[in-house]
Amino acid sequence: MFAMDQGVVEEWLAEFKTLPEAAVSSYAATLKEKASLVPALYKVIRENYSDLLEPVCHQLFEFYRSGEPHLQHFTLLFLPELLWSYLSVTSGRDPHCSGCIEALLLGVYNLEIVDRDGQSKVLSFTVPSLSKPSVYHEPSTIGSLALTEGALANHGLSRVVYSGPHLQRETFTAQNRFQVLTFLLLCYNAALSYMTSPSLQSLCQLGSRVCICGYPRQHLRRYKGISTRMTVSSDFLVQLITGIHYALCNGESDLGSRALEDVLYRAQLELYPEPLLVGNAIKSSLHGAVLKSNKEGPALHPGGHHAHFLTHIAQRRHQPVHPRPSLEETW
Amino acid sequence: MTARKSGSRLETEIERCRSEGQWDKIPELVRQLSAKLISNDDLGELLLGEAKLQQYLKENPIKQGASPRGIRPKLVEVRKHLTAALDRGNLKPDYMQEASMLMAKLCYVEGDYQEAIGQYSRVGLDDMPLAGSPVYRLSMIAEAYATKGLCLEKVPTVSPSLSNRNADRDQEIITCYEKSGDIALLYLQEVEKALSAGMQNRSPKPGPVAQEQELGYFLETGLQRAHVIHFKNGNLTRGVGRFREILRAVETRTTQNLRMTIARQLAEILLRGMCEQSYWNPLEDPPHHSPLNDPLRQGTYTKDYSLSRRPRVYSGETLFCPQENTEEALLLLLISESMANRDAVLSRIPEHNNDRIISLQSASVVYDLLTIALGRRGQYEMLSECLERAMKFAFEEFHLWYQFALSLMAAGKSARAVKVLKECIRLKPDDPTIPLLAVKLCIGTLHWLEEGERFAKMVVDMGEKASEFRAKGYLAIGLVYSLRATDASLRGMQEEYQKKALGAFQRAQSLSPTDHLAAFYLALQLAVSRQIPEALGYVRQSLQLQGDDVHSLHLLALLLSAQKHYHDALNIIEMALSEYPENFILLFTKVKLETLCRGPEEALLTCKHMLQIWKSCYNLTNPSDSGRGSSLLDRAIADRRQLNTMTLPDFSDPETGSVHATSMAASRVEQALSEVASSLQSSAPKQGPLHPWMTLAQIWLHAAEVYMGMGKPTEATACTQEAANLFPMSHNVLFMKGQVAELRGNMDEAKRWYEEALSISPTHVKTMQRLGLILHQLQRFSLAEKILRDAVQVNSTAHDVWNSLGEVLQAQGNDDAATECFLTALELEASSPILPFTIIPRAL
Repeated sequence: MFAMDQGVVEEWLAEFKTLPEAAVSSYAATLKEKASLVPALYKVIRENYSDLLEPVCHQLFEFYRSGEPHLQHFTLLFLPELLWSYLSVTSGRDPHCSGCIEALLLGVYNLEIVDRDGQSKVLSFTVPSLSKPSVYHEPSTIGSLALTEGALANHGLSRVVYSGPHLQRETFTAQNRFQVLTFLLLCYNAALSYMTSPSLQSLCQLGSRVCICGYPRQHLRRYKGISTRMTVSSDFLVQLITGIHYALCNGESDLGSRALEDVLYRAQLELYPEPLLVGNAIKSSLHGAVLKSNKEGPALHPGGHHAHFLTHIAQRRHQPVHPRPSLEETW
Repeated sequence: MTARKSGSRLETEIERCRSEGQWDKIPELVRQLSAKLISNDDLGELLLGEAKLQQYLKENPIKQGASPRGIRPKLVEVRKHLTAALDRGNLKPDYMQEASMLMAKLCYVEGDYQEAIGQYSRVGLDDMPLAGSPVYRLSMIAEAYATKGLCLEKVPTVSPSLSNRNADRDQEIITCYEKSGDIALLYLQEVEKALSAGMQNRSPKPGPVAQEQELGYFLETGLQRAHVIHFKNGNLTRGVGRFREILRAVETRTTQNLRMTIARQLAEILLRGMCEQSYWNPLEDPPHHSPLNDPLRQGTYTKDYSLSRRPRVYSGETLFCPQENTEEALLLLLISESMANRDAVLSRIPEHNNDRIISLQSASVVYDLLTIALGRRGQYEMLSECLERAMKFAFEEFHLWYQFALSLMAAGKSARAVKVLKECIRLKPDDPTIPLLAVKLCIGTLHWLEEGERFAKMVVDMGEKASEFRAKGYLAIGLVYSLRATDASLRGMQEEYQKKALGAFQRAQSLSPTDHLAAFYLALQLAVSRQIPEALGYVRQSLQLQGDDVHSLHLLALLLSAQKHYHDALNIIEMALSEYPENFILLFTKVKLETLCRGPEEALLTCKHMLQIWKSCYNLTNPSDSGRGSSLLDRAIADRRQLNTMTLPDFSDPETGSVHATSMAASRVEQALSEVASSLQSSAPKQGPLHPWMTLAQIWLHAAEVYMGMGKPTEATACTQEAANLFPMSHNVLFMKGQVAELRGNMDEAKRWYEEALSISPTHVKTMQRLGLILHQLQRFSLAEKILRDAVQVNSTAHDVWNSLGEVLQAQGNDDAATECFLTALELEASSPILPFTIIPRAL
C-alpha cells in the first residue's frame, strides 16, 4: 500500500470525525468527488492485514448508521468486496483479522432489519392479480383467464407476501451465515442504481469466485487465490444473480456474463433449482432480446434496443467517477 | 343509389367514412354532395385531396429511414385538389385548417420539410379544440403533431453553435410527439366508442365494424418516437414516464399490440435498470435527481405541455398501484402474458411456421422475465402456475420444459417435477444435471427409490461424458442403494444394498477426492455397517474439506459414542452447536449424551433450551403464515425457507431418522388423522407450516424420555400429553404412553398402547422390542419370539432386540440359539452409537 493511499484514507478518517452534525449531508454529497479515496479503500479491504482496516470498517459503519442516503450508498459500494474478504477468511479458517469486517457486516444487518423506531421490519410484497383492476388494466378486458385451481383460489385476492421479521444476530455461525449474507445482498440489490462500476465489478468477481473456488473450473478461470470450496445457499445465489443481472445490463457485460456462467455452473453442481431457474431465464432473455422479431414491435422500434440505451447510459454514468481500478489483474 | 341522402345525413356519412378511413367511398359521396350545392365544391376538393393522399399512403406505406418520394403523378393530383380548396378561400375556418394540415402532410411526403413546418405554424395546431370536434379531426391533429415532429427532426437547427438551442429543439420535438401520442390515444378511444355505439344503433346492418383499424405511420410515430428520444438522451425517468402514460390510457383494440410491446419493454427496464431505491410508482412524480438519468444531461427535459382533453385513463376507487419495481414488472408481465396467450399461434403446418416461431419467441421472453421477477421474490408456486400456461408453446422446446420442471421443483411439487424432468431428459439426453435433479427429488420426500435408481444409472452410464457430474452420479446411486438397504426387510437384501452403496461411494470419493460429501457419505455408510475405525478416517477427511459441515460433525460425535467415548462425543456436539445453535437433531443427540454423561437434570435443561429456541424460531409473527393456502400441506410447502434451514428430515421417525417406507406411510396417516383431530377440536394450535409442529412434538417426547429415566411418571405423562395434543395418532406418542404405563407397572395398558402404535407403524422397532418383552413377561413366548424376529429383520443392528430375543429363546429352553443372540447383541452393543447413524439425513 502506497503512502499516498494511506494518506488519503487517513485524511478521510479524520475529516468525518471532526465534522459537525449539520454539515453531514453536504459532506455526503462531496464524497463522490474524492477520486483517489475509493481505490485506496478497496486496497485497505483487500489487504486484510492493514492497520487501517479496523478504523475504516468502523467509519463505514458510522456512515451507514447516520441514515444519510449518500453515506449509506457509499458504504454499500464496498459490500461485495467486504463479503469476499469475509468469506475467503472464513473458508481458510484463518481467525485473523476478519473481526472488524464481521462486525461491520453484522452491524449493517442489524440496522437493516429494524425500522427507524427500532421495531422489527417486515418487508411486504404484493403479488398483483389480473382479477383486480389496476392502473394498467381492467379485469373484464383481459378475457378468459385460465380457470386453474390456483386462479380460482386467488380470485379477487391480492396476495401479500412478507419477509421477516428477522432475528438480531450478535455473531456469525455456520447456520446463520448465509441468512445474514443473503439479506445483505438484498440490501445491496435494493440500491443497485446507486452503485458504481468498480462496485459492480467487485460483485461479479465475488459471484465468480465464491462459486468456482475449489472446483475444476477454477483452473479454467486461472484464479490463483483460495482453493478451498465455499459453501453457498440457494437463496444467496439467487440474490447474487439478481445483482449480476443488473451489472450485465449496465456496462459490465463481460464480467457479468462470466459471473452468470459461474453461478449457473455451481447451481448445477449443487442441484439448486432456484438459481438455475432465474439464471437460465436471464441468459435466455438476453439472447432473445437480440433475435426478437419485429412483428409486435413496429419498424421504428427494433426490440431490445433500450437494453443498449441502459448500457450506454451506465457507461457514461460510471466513467467519470474514478479510473477503473485494476481488478482484472487478479484474474 | 336509390335515394339521395339529405344534407345532414350525407355529412354524417362523410364524417363516418373519414373517421373509419373508408377512403374508397369518398368520391361517390363527393359527387352527391356537389350535386346539392355549388358552395360545396371547395369542400369536395378538400375531401378528394384527402382521400387520394390517404389512398396513396395506403398503397405506398412510408418506411422509416426511407428517402423522400419527390414529385409523383398521384401526388400532383392531390396537390391540385388541395390548392383548389385553399385558394378560393370560401371554406369554413375548420375546413381551411384541415386543408392546410393536409397540405403540410403532402409537403412532408414529398420531402419539403421546411414548407410543411411553415404550413403548421399558419394553422396554429395548439389552438385547435379537442372537444366537440368530429372524431376524424382528432386523428388529423395527432398526425399533424407527429409530422411536425418528423419535420423538425429533419431540418437542421438554425444556429448549431448554441447547445441550448439543441436542447430547446429536442424539447420541441418531444412535445410534438407526446401531444401526437396523447391525441392519437384519445382518437382511438373515441373511434371505438363510436363503433360500439354504432353497433347498437344499426344492429341489423352489418357495418364494417369487424375491420381492424390500423395505426398508420404517423400515429405510430407519435406513440413510439417520444420515449425513444428520451432514452437516447439518457433521460430514463421521462422515458419510463412516457411508457406509463401510454399504458395507463384505457386500452383499445388498435393499441393492443402496442401495449403488449410497451408493457414488456417497461418490465425489462424495471427489472434490468432499476432498483427498489430508485423506483417511484406510476402515480408519483419522478424524483428530481435520479441516478437513472445521464448526469451530464440532467434536467434537459421536463413535461411542460397540457392538453384541453386527454385520453381516458384507468380509474376507480380500489385501483391496484404497484409500490415496488418488481411488483410493477410483474403486473405488466402478467398483462403481456395474457395477451401473448390470446394471440398465440400454435399451428404446426409449414405455412404458419414463421408466425409460430415469432409467437413462441415473444411468449418465451415474457415467461423469462416473469421467472426473473418471481424468482427474486421467491414466488415459485405462482411461477410454476404461470409456466404451466406456457406449456402450450412447449412442444419440443427444451427451455420451456426445463424451466417448468425447475419451477415445480422449487415450488415443492416434486412428483410432477420428476415427470416433467423425464421429458427434459428425452429432449436433451446428454445433460447429466437433469437426471441428477430427478434423483434428488426421488430420494427426498417422494422416496421413489426404484425410479431414483434408474435416473442415477443414466448419469453413471454417461461415463466420461458426464465429466464433473460423474462423481455426483456415483454419489446419487450410492444414496439410492443406501436408502434401499434401510428399507429392505430381508437381511440378505440389506447386506447386498449396503455393499453396493459402499462401492458407489468409494467410486465417488476416488473420482472427486475434494468433495466433502463423497467422503462423508462413505463414512456414514461405513458407520452403518459398523466399520467404526474406517468411518472415523473418512469423516475426518470430510471435515478437513469442510470444517463446519454439520452432518460430518454429527457423524463424528455418533462414531465417538459408538466407541463409548461419550464425553468426547458431547464435546463435539457442543462444538457443532456453537456453529448450529438452532439445529434440533444435534440437540436431540445432545440430550441423549447429557443424560449419560452429566445426568438427567442437565438433559432437562437442554430440553427447556430447545423449547426456547423453537419459540424464537417459529413464534415470530410472520403474517404470511396465516391465511395462506387452505390445507396444512400447502402451508408446509409455503415455508420452504424454514424447512431448508432445519435439517430434520421430513416425516421422519426420531429414532430411525431417515424416511422408511412404512414409517413414511405411518407419518402420512399421522398427518391425516391429526388434521381430522384438529379440525374436530378447533383449539389445537395448528396454524403455520407442519414441520415446526413435528419438531415441537419431538422435543416434548425427548423431555418425556428424560423424565422416564428419572423415574418420574407424572412429569413424563405431562410431556407426552403435550406431544399428543399436537399429534394424537403418532406412533411415537403412543409408544411413549406405553413406556410411561410400563414405568407405572401397568403392563396391560402398556401392551394396549404398543399394539396401537404398531397398528399405525408396523415396523417401529422399539415398540416391537418393548411389546416382545411384555409378551415374554406374560409367558406368551412364541408370539414374543415372532415379534422380536420381525424386529431383527427390520433392523439387524438393534442390539437390545437381539438381547430380548435371546431372553425369549432362553425362556423357551432354546439355549444354543439364545447364546448366539446374546453374542450378537454383545458384539453389536460394542459398536452401537447413542442414536442410530441413520438419524443423519441422506440427501443430494
